Amino acid sequence: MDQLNDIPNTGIYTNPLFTHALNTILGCPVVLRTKNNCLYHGMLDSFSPDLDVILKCCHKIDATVETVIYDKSIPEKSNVKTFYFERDDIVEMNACEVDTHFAIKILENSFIDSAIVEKSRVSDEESLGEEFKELVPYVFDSEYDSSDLDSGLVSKEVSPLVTNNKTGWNAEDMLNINEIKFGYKSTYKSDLSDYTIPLEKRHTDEYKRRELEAEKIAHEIEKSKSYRRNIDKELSDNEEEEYAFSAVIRTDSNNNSLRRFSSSRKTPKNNKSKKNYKN
Amino acid sequence: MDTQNLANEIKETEAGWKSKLNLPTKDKRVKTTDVTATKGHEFEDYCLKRELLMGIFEKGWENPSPIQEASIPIALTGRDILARAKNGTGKTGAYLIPILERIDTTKDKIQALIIVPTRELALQTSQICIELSKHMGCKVMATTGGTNLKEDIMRLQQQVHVIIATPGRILDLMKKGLAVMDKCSMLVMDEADKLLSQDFKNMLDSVISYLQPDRQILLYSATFPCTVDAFIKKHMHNPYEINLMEELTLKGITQYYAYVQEKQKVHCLNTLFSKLQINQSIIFCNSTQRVELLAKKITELGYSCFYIHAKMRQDHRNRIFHDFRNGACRNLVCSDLFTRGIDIQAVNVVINFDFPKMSETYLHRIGRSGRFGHLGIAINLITYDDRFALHKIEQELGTEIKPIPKVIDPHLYVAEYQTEGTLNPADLKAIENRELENQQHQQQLQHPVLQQQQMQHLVQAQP
Repeated sequence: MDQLNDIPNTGIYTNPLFTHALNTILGCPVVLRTKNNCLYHGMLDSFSPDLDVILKCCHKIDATVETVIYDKSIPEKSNVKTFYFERDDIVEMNACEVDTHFAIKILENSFIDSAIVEKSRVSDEESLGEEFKELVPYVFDSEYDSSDLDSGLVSKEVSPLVTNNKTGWNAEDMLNINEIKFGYKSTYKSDLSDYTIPLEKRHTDEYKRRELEAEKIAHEIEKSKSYRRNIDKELSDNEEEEYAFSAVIRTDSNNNSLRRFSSSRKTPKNNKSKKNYKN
Repeated sequence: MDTQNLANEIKETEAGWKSKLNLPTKDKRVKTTDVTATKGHEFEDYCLKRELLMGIFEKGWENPSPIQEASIPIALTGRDILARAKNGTGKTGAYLIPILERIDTTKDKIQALIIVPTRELALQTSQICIELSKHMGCKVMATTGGTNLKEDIMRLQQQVHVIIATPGRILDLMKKGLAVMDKCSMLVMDEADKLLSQDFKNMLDSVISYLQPDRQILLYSATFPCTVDAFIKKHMHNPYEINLMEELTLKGITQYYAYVQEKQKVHCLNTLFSKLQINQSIIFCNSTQRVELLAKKITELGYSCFYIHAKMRQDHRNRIFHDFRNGACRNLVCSDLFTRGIDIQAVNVVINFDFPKMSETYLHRIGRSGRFGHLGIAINLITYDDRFALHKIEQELGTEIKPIPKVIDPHLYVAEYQTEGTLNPADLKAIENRELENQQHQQQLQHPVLQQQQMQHLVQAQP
């Protein structure tokens, strides 16, 4: 202790902020530029009070064969040495991609959903059992007459195979009824002027020519196969829109989730709940 | 003397620009730590153009949210980003702000492209982009399938700086050389996990092939059920990862289930409607036909209700999207078309009339309420057949969906009960204990200090 205190702080060591910053990147890869415009890539090993710097595993970057992208340049093994740079020769020294959290990272692929669940589960283990829970049936207010409601949405006229308009509800009817019954008023402008740049319409021959041209190209595009295919991707081609607009399709190559459970592994034991309804 | 005057004048305008802003009325609802747990940055810290700052403040955005703090400075340096943050915590702003800052409006070139999976989301994003950039003179264009192609071609002959598009339409325009992308150096993929899903994937590869080789790519989503490593390896340069999620679900949303039979669902919904204080609600069904039938039923029961799904005419879709967003109708029944990204601040109740299959769908659906850290509820109608899906989704999301109580505490989702400053410890407690049963509530009334401490963890009222 005493010995340490006896050493007088000199040079850059008297600047605590700068010294702290340099200490933070000790051991990190840096790219150092010298006065003669050469680049050296190496690991920051130490620095003196005069800011002379030592880089270990260091090599001079040959600009003709190597490029530096962030902290990556590829040295030839035999050329890697320890280099000493005097302050007066240093123009700049960059430490890129310093990861101060590397030591506390736990999961390799911490970015996917299952990793986040895993992370939150550590602190919350007891409340989330893997057992199937018994579902509590919803209790209806008994005094309420529900005869006309209890048919649900499955009426006789609706067959899942028939999907023409007769079984649904026309959009025009919906708008009309909401207007009549609930006083709905639209503020929608069909030119979408709140949402995209307005079309600058002009009454010139030049404009008309461009309009015709655009119409021709539009027609060409709309005829092409890829157009149809792209449109179909934006619309769903089946009844369920979950897969079209929301769900992510799992493949063998991307599905490396950390999931520990599968629904097939366990059988639910809530048959009891079903009985509740049979009563 | 003249220079003195000039200096004074400059000083005055410097100080005065903020007072001239046309600010919206402040939203005084409490917000959860999902959006308030920041480092304390301010938008002015990022050296943004004055015109952009004006747009940000006039949008009512006061301070950056956590995802915006993490994302804006990095994106401004031009680096690729892979970011995930919860639903409704400010991702759109997190990429629009740095993009708009880097647009050079003196150049007549498309400089940024934003791709989203659905047409309505494209319109919404475009509208926000237009609002943010309204003092900048930046030209923002939305182009999606289903709109007039000829008009979009003609728009592209005008000056356009930013395009917001669905993948199909923009590909068609790029292939024909109508959207010239050789100076486009910024690409955003919002809802990136969906865009990189098998059904879209090859389209994005083609989109990228038309851009500048050293373009910046920004990926954002609330869910990444699978890795996107293959895409990153192929197209991105050492992306900066932002992962702000300690858990998947929003702190402000309380989730319930009502266990019913299929034929009781409408009856149950009717009961919920009569009991709940709905500001606006979104109700999800699993097929387009059920969407229509349910919307019809709801209007017959005496509640104003729209429906929307992908098989409708696009002009109807646009109208309903616009009018529902503007509060012209209280309830909306929809398919999963509306599951991702749609931001309607007034929605405080989400109902899954049909339970979804995939956990990411569930997460995005319930994320339609509780926008920007506000409070909301999600109610799932569960049948016997759904019990596996319910269990699977609870497990995959690490969350618990509780049976619906007889009375749902209005503090959990009704705006009037959440105003800043009016919350007393008992109110705060109600939110904290949102997952507990009524009985437990009463027991805890005796320990207000304890609850307040817990509450500070959950909800941090704005100063």
